Amino acid sequence: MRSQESLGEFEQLVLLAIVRLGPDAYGTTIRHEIEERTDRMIAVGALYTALERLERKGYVDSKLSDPTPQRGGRARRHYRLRAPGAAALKRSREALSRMWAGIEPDLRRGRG
Amino acid sequence: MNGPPRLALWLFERSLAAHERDLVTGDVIEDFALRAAQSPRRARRWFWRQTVRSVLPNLRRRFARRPHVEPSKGPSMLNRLAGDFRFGLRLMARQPLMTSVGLVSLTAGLGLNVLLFTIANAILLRPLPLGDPDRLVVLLMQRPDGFAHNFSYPDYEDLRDGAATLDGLVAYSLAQATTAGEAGATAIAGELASGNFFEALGVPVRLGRGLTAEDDDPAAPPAAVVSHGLWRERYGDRPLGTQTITLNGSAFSIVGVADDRFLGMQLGRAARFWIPHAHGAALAGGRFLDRRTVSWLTLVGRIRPGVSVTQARDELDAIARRVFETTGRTHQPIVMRPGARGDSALPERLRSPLTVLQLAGGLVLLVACLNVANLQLARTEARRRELAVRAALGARRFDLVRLLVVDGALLAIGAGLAALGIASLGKARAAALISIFGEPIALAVPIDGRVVGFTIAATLASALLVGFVSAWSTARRQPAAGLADGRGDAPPRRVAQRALVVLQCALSMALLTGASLLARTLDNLRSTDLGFETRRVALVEVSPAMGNVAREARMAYFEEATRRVAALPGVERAAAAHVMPLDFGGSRTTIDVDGYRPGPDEDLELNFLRVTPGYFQTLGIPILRGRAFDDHDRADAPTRIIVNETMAERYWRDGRAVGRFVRFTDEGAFDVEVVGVVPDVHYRMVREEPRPSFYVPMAQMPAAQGVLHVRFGSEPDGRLDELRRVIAEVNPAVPVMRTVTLRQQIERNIADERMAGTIGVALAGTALVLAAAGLYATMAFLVGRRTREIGVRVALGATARDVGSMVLRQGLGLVALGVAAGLALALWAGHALRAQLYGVSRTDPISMASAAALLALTAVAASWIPSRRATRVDPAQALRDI
Repeated sequence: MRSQESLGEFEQLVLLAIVRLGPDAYGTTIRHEIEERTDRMIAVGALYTALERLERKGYVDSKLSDPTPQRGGRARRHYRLRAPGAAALKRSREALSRMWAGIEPDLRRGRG
Repeated sequence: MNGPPRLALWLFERSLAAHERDLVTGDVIEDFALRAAQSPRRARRWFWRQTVRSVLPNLRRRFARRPHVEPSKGPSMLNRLAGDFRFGLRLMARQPLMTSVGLVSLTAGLGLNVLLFTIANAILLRPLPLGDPDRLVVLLMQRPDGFAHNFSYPDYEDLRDGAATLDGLVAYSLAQATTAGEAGATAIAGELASGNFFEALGVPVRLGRGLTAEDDDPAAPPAAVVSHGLWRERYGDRPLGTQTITLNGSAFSIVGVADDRFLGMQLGRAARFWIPHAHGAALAGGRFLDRRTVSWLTLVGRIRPGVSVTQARDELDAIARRVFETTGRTHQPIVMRPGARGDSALPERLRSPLTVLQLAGGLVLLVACLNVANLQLARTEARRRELAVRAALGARRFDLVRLLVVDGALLAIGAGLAALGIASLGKARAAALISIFGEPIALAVPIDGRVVGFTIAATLASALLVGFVSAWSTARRQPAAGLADGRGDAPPRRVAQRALVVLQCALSMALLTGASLLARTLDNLRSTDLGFETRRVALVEVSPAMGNVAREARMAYFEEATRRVAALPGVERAAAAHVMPLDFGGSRTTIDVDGYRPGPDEDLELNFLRVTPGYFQTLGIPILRGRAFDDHDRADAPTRIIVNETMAERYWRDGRAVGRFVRFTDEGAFDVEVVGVVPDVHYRMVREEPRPSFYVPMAQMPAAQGVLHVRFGSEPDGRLDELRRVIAEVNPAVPVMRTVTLRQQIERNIADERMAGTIGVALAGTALVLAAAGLYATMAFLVGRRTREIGVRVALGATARDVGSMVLRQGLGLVALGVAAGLALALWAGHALRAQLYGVSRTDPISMASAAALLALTAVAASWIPSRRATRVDPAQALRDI
């Protein structure tokens, strides 16, 4: 088996947010997407650390857009899922599903 | 429109690298604008929270090196090390609790050691501030019973003038003189010096000049060099002119001021003046310059370059042989010792305790290192996957070990720097624990190159120890095993971790036993029956000789002083003796006893004390046989003595000492009669073996100085000033040198033991706290690792009590192993301390038992929280975590 790095939970959330947002995925929107759906606050610094790591692994790529007045004339960077990222997401999901298979009734009863 | 908080924005932007600054800041500003439209206040608060939470990740991103697959050549070792260091720093920032616990442990261990070394350095290693001190030697004479440290002046002159292998031979002696100050006559310390003293020793002079050979001529005007401290007190920092200083009534013109680094030749004693021997008669207590039989000078020579110590010794020995033979005395071989630190008693006396304490400090450092290694193990546990990934990516075992060693080194460097800080803050307080014959020490305690070198060496040793212990127990495992996720057991590491705790407990056991032995020694010294009344007694030391009171008038002075203090309210009795009790010193004289044949090396030089009538009653010393002195024992009456029990039993086997005679042989032989026998007392020091000694009426042997013993109806601590005043009024010219209570004098007498006890307890306490922290961390870790197992146990019916006591038993078991292993170490500690102990065996079972009990208590305390946590394990939760 090829050594495949598994995705961390936060990385999965970021990748999924990018998929959900499509062409509109950049720092602020990704953060809002995750914050709204998971009900937790995301630090900008942490998000960019994750984005940088994902980009380095080749899971996402990005391009700069034109500066906008809402951002005080600053540019924004849009992110897009790449094929390896999609594959990694799928792997994570499959691994989790296999692990979850058949135990949900137990958990619902509150026993391990 | 209000923008985001400016400080927060500034912080946020600064934390970002230039290439992403616009981009990321743009995000938060956009978001802020959206939020500010609803509630500016909450938006600002949000912006602050974002900043606080983003700064660290931003910084990490900014300063992170992109890890990349290493090319086959790989970066240089140095580059890799630098990378490891950066990585280590980032890891530490991420685990602040572990980092700070490790840092505190190592800082405590290193700090104590550097502090101890700073003191040991000042006393045992540092040379006096003299020119080329390594070529200086101290001259001694080998005698059958030890070394003679002093020479007579005529012998000195012969040696000085004959020595061709020396670049100079100087003679000095310690002196004390009264000088008129604002607060009446005060006694100050100084040195009598030969004319070549300053030049031959290379004494640094700040103003004017040192003494010269011309000054050491009786016909020359009296000259003095004073210390910089005295100069500042008297003249500020004025230039040197025609100032004079009056010593014992004679005026000396000040020709120079010594540099403030130079405090004289006696380590720990601050000399304030130097005057030539030719003008020192008034200070030396008599004219000794032409007497070969009076030895009072310390000789220090400077070996000529190219000459060996042996050559110089042989030459001086030959000269001494000639001189001694021509003057009809038995020759005693000359011995040379390194003279870079003068001929001080302090290093000799403190070498053994300071060495033992430094060794104990080393043990504490070891405990601290084990503690940090233990923490590192827990951290390594958390880094298992990372290390496994590294191994999988091709990192060699060596690279992994290097990573762990670097981690240890980072902690140690931080702790080493902190230790230097601790040493420079604490050195004055630590030095204050040391006293020289009960007097507070005057000693320069600098953080010099040697201390810094020691700190670096200790830091390096700790770093290597921590790194290798943690690397050793990590690297033994197959790194790839770490890739398998889950909470599988890791047996080797658990063993390693427990072994570290056991070792820590063993070391603590030794330190605690040692500290307990020292504490019991101190306790024994304090409760020793000295043989006389120690409470309610005040002592006033005066020097009629320094006040120019003639020899014949001194007894009258003491009688008058005794009479006046006895009349004070609350005073029960008063008397005088010529030496301060428990001051380590005393007078000695040689006697001869008819019919007693001394052993081959037996010394008939005995201690004696001159006392006034009423002395024995004042101190509550009973008369066993015969009588006490009374007013009939006057100067014109035949000399009588009272002997102690040991003397009575040794010289008169029939037990009838009273009525017998001994012969004084020192100053013209004459017989004196024994009129009484008193019990042995601990007079010179608390830890004193009984030795023959005797008492002489002061009226029959007038002393240059004396000590009034005043017994009050209650403790006299509050009345010392009054006493000083009353006695100063008897004769204002006579300096009152010291006013103390007998209790204070006892405490001063056991100052060395108090120092050893204080430092010992501090060391052992630190070790105990460190060991407790190590035990706690280990127990908490083990309980964490056993959560699942405990869950199963509870599910199967184990009660909270079962689980709690299981954890407690495990903690106690580790400590029990440590105590057992520590017993051997504790025996070694007792052996190392044997010279310091008093009234307690070095295998004292009480000390060992109390050390073991203390460790057991610590074990319970340290295991308590983890055991509570174990009882709260929810089986459902624990099993779900699988």
